[in-house]
Amino acid sequence: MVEWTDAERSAITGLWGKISVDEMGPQALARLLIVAPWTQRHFASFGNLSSPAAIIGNPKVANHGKTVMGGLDRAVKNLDNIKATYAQLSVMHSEKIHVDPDNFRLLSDCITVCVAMKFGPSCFTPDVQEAWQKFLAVVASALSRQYH
Amino acid sequence: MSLTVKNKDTIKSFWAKVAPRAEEIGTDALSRMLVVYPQTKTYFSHWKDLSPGSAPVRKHGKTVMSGVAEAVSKIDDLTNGLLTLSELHAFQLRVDPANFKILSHNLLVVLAIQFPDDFTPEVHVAMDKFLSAVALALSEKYR
Repeated sequence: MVEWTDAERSAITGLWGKISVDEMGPQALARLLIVAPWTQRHFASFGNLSSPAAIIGNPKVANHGKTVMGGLDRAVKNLDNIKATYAQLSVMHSEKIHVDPDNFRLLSDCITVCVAMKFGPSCFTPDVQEAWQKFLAVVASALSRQYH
Repeated sequence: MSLTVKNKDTIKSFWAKVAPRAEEIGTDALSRMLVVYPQTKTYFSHWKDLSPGSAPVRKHGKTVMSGVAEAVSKIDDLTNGLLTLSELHAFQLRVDPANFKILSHNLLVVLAIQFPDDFTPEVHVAMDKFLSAVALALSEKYR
């Protein structure tokens, strides 16, 4: 069971409350596809991914970014039970989509960079970064849990 | 995943903006590394104060960033250019090379914070590739 301090809980929920999924989801996913282009393997049907500009302007990427980032909401609302909350999603990522779990870490890092850029040093302090990265690591672990 | 000509140009122009704030950036990156990845504190048990922005952290942040600056100047041949630094890390400091990735990540986070308008996805990928190449060069003499 993951143990969260009060400070961590409040950092995570506080940040989540300020994040616009519609704004940041597309940014984070686009950044992933640009920074780690091998992740494009899952998006052959998305059309033009041939350049950073194409990726950033691609509406399918934007929509999917919102879906993926929106998925974090259930984890924030179930901090004490993320593993169970994501059991089905984990099976889906393994059996249906066949995502290498290392990609969860890559996307987490891109999300962290977007959050850092948006909120700056006075909000995204080292302690807040610690809580946020711990949260994303727990999410990644839960998503990897049902792989076999 | 070697650096293209375009990557190198991107890195050098971005670095020109970074260089004046190098000490601050190095300090913040190290501070965050020690908080977010507490296992990295094991390398600094000889410091009196490991808290963010402390004197030893500040001093070391400056040292690390001058190493990165050296790497930028030797970007066309990192392996040979960083041989001495690699020997230092391999034989004296004996830092587990996994930690290079950790520090690189924190450097990228700080660059994103300090340059929200400049740290575009293209700059991000170029810097990530560069820091990975630096890490590889630093690992050269390990075994």
